[in-house]
Amino acid sequence: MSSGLPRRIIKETQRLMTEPVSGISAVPDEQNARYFHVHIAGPKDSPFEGGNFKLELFLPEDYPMAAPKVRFVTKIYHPNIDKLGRICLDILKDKWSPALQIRTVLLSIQALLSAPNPDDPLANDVAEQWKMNESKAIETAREWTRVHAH
Amino acid sequence: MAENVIQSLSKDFVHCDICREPYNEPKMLPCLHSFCIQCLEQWARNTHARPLSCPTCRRTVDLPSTGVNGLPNIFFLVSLMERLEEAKQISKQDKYCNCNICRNKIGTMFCVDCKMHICQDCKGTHNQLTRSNDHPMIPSENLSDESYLQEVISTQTPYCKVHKEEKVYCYYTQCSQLACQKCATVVHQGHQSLQ
Repeated sequence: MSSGLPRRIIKETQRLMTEPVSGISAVPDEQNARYFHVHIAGPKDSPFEGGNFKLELFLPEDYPMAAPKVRFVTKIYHPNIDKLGRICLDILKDKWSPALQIRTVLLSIQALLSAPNPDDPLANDVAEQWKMNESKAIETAREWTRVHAH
Repeated sequence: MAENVIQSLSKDFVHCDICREPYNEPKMLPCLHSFCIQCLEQWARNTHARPLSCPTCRRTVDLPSTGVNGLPNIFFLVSLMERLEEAKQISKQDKYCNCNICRNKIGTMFCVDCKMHICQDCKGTHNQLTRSNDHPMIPSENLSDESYLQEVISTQTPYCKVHKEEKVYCYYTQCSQLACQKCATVVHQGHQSLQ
């Protein structure tokens, strides 16, 4: 199955297993070594604290020349993540570089949870709420974390 | 200390940030970051719509008219890698072999340049010859110690690629090439060089 898998992907996978990033787990699918089951723990002092967020990550054919495709599977109330779980993050789009890797991408997503950016929204309604009434938005994000992210 | 530096050189500095393998024909960008020629070519093809940027620092790169191929080679990385590899190869062989000169006694030293095991009796002969009197010698008992070998070998002046018996003596900035005395007179007359 993994005979056609580039050495870089094999190396990255091995390192994710042997030296995992704190608060992040990424496990390759048994059927498809380019598809990863990811869990990110909600960062401390963020409205997502205590939550365990499930994501899916897929390495396209031209990875690492093209960015991995990442999506939240767990529902999350965040101005840069939409209803379908798509993430607005520059390094996943035009700021991608082949020197980045799975672990750095997941670290960036973890950082995005700590620092929502309503000025560059993907989920417009959430961003509006975040700008107009931040404390209410944070309360909603906490509530969603309690209900959905466990 | 030196050992740690060499170890970290071989671990952290001879791998391309794109393929994460030891560099294969490394090219240097104006920001001084280096990548394999193939990796850079692939990245350049992938970013055709945008200007090429350094994968590490994102600085925009103005490619020469000849493309990635026209970027400077990095002689330093290549020769460092060759020597780290040489240390690895030497450390794989048997520590104690018959002397390559008299073939009688067990060698106690190993000459890095001649790649020969030499016994105590023949050591004098080897060291008296003008050709070999400046060759670095390693005690046979250290032959299996890869990091010791890396330390010794990486501090040697490399040999010329063309005139294999001559040591390199200068670097030509214009043609980014290392050259020995012979090359200097034949090929590089009048070129700018660093000793």
